[in-house]
Amino acid sequence: MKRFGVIKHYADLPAVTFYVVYFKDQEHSEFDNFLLKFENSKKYKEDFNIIKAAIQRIGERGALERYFRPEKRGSAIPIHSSKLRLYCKRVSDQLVILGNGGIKTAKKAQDCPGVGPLFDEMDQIARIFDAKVKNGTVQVSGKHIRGKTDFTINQERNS
Amino acid sequence: MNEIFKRNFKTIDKEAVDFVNRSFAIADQIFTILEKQGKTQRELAMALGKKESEVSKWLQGTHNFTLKTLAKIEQVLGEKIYYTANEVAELKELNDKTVYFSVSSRELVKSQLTNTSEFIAEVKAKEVATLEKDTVTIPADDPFYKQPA
Repeated sequence: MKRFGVIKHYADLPAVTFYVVYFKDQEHSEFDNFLLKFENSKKYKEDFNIIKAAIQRIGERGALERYFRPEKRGSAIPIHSSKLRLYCKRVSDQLVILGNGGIKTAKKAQDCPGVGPLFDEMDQIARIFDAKVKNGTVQVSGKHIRGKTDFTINQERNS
Repeated sequence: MNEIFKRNFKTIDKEAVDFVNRSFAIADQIFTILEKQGKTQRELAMALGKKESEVSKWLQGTHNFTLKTLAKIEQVLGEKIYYTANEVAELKELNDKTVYFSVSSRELVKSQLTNTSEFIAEVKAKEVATLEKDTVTIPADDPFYKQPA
């Protein structure tokens, strides 16, 4: 199945501008879906708060490369000793594209039924984004992403 | 900013914020020391007998460092990573004294270089003044006073 989407501006913090991924016919962005999925979770309350605090800190101080765990062409904001993952694409110290996330239940994200598809989606989006920057369809300048940020990916997802 | 974002980011647990800020600060400090010493993450990992991937995780910013791990890193790097408020206060006090002494030394050297004789005279005058000030006149009838032999 093909999924159509677009990368849109989301939030400006002092050091970083956050963009998010919207899929066609979806009410919320992928990042908002992540927030909605965990905002009332008692089990993952602490981990969820740590991820939000990490996003806030990164937003205030800068999205340095070493803060992100490389996940193929995408990245993850991980919490050590936790299974909660948020997938994203770090573009530069000033730009991050936030995706969706979930609980990783397998050793490799690819093998996990929960986060596997999300991990794969972010990988594909990151590949398309990098290619578009390379061929000039998308321009990255300071805290802004401009140009044709739409994309099409192949994905089968249950949720 | 939409409502979902606002709702979620205005209510971040303070404990989580404090933990993340400290964890990132420690990671940044280790990174700064490594850069200053011209060392790589791999070299640090080898010195600690750890995998490079583990050190890389530490520097990502949400690692829950134990005091033992911090002590080991400090030992290997030969520098402190984290100071308590008391240690900071002690360092500040020490630093203030160091500044005082270094300023005094600088003035001393400057005086010696610019006008040696005048400087010596000035020091001698100060010594005399100090001696005079510190001199105690002993009464002649002091029972504890021993005449020099």
